[in-house]
Amino acid sequence: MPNRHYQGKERDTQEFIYVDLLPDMKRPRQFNVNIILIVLIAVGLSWLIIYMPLNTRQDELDEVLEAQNDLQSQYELTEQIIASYRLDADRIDFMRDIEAIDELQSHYYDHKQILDDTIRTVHSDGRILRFSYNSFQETYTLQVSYVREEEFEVLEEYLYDLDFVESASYDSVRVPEGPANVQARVIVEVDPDAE
Amino acid sequence: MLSKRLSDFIFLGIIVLVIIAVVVARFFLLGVFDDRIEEAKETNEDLEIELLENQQLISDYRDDVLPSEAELHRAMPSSYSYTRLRNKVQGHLELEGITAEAHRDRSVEINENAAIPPEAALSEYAGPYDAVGIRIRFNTDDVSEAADVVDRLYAQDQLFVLHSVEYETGGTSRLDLRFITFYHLQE
Repeated sequence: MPNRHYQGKERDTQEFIYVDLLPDMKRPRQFNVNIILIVLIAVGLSWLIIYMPLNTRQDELDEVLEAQNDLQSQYELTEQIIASYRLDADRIDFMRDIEAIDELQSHYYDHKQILDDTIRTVHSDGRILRFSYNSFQETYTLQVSYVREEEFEVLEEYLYDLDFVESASYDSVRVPEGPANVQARVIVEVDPDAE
Repeated sequence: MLSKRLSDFIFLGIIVLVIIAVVVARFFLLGVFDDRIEEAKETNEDLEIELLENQQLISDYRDDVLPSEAELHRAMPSSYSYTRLRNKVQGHLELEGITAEAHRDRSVEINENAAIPPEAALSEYAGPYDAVGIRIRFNTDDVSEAADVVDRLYAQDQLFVLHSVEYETGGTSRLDLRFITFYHLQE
């Protein structure tokens, strides 16, 4: 309720009524303290768990960006040197690729010698009916015929003794009717780099 | 007027909200910074690699005279023509005495989309360049003709890489040779 004050005629010539419109209530001082506490907690907490690690991160980022600037400068410098020597990176890459393919091309000659040796080995007693060589798989397949089946075992053992042969096996021994020789498929896996 | 209990409750609620907001802000801000640091580090790594490549390039080729584009394109032509390639291969076969006579039953096939198995070292070059397959078949009793054909094609400026050789004896002995050649086609 607002406070009302009355002043009578006896004291003064003018009379007026003084009305205090402000509500008569106790101000909650505790509330202000709470706000201050909240602000303090917010600031303290932010400083501790945001500012501190963020500051460390900022230092780290500055360091990384500084290193990036150095690298960028060095890179630009090398680009200028390359331009001054007229070195065309694309042409050099192209040239390197050609050299690499050329090396793979000549790899065949290592195989060729092995193939010749294998054929010579078989030819001593038997006959090659079919052979295939795949440079991608580094495998030779030979279809060989011998007079006797036991000779396949001898061939297999002989091939195993060769350094470059990783594996040698024969399968599907076929004994044709009549006087023809026995036949089998011999698969030879090689490693031309073997010593 | 707020009761003391409600006021305390609001106070505690605000404290909890502040803590949550600060923690969320922490993870968000640190996340943003971590991303920027990570991105900058990745850029640095890329720059380092490019820088090393440039330095290597300078030290390797500073004193060298590079072959011209034309020389390089002799090994890997910049334009492809089915007819030209086929005629070229047939021409070399003729020079080796493997003629188009009927008893030879010679054939030359060109495959413009040659497949190279991914395990083959050569497959690395099938992406940046255009690989073309060549298959040569002819009748022969002399298996050494396979080596002659390989030697002749290998002696050319253009790169031919042997893929496979198959030889079958029987009624008619037949050789089957496969090669891969590359083109560096210009846009």
